[in-house]
Amino acid sequence: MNRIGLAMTVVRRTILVVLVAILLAHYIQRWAQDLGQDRGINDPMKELQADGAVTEIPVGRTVLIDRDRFTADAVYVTQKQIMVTYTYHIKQAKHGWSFPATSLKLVMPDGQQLYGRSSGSHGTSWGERGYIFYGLPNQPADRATLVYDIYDRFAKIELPLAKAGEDA
Amino acid sequence: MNKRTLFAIAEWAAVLLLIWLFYRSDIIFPHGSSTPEQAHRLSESSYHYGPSKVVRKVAAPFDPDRVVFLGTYKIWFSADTVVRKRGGWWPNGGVAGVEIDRDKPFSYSWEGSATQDSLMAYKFYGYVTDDRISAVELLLTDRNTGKSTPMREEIGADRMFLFLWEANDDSRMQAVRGLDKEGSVVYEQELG
Repeated sequence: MNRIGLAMTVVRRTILVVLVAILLAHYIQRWAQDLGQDRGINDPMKELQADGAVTEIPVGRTVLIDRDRFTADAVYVTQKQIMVTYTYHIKQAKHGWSFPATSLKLVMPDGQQLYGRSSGSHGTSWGERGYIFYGLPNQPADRATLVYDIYDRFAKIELPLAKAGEDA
Repeated sequence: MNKRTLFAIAEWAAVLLLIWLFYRSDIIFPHGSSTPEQAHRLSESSYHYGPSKVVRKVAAPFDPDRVVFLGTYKIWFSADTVVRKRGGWWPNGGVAGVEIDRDKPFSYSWEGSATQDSLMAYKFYGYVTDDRISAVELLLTDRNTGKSTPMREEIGADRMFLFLWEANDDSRMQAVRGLDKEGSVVYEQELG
């Protein structure tokens, strides 16, 4: 009886130690991932810096899309392009599609619509961080509206632009 | 009950809790949704579409682990596919709604995705607006022999059609036809 009890204790504690070690490693990795500032496989800042001077404009405005929370974090403007970074907190954290970022368009004050040329994102346990690149508008503008318009869902955020499209 | 027994019970409870956390964390493998319906619902909500009115739930005849939810939502129709992998259900494609073109006899869409047996699983689906059309026929042609094989579906009250098949690269979609009650072609659209 004592031998069986001893064996059970060894088995139980081995399972405990192994599971605690695996789970700790998993949660530490996830925590580090969630804290990270990565927004995709490629580093979008390198692409912007290749254009020359980069103007960063903090935004920090949030809208609700259904039960999900979309925040435009910042706008970066160069002589060649505009980049918008975002944070997306989702209610449903698993088993769904990632945010359809290419559905976001920039609408300029004169009505010109700019569509995302490329985008990237980095998944976290609560959603994702990402970025979208746009070309420059035909007419220089100091503001634009970021519009999410997909099926019957609609959301918009006003963005300052620092005269995007103006020749340096 | 002595202290040692109580301690052992507490340790077993901790083991069970950790096993549950381990399962929930998807460390070894993500376990997906427990039902096709739940996977479909999560697929639509994460895509900000729907919830659609499901008119048919169809398991692929060549793969019972592939289920299609055919449905409509406002002015759109969709055929959302979910597949079972490692015991759980996952979104697979077709969640995006396609607008119903009321100026055409029927609207359609299609897609193909690779299967585990190196074939392609095809899905051709649509919505019929012309009341004269009582059946839809999809014509597949063998690239090598030129032989055509029609697939036919009667149109019911939901006005929708769905063709599911598995094939290699040897066949191509030639045309889709809307037929009236007498079997005469009301409308034909050439494909690729």
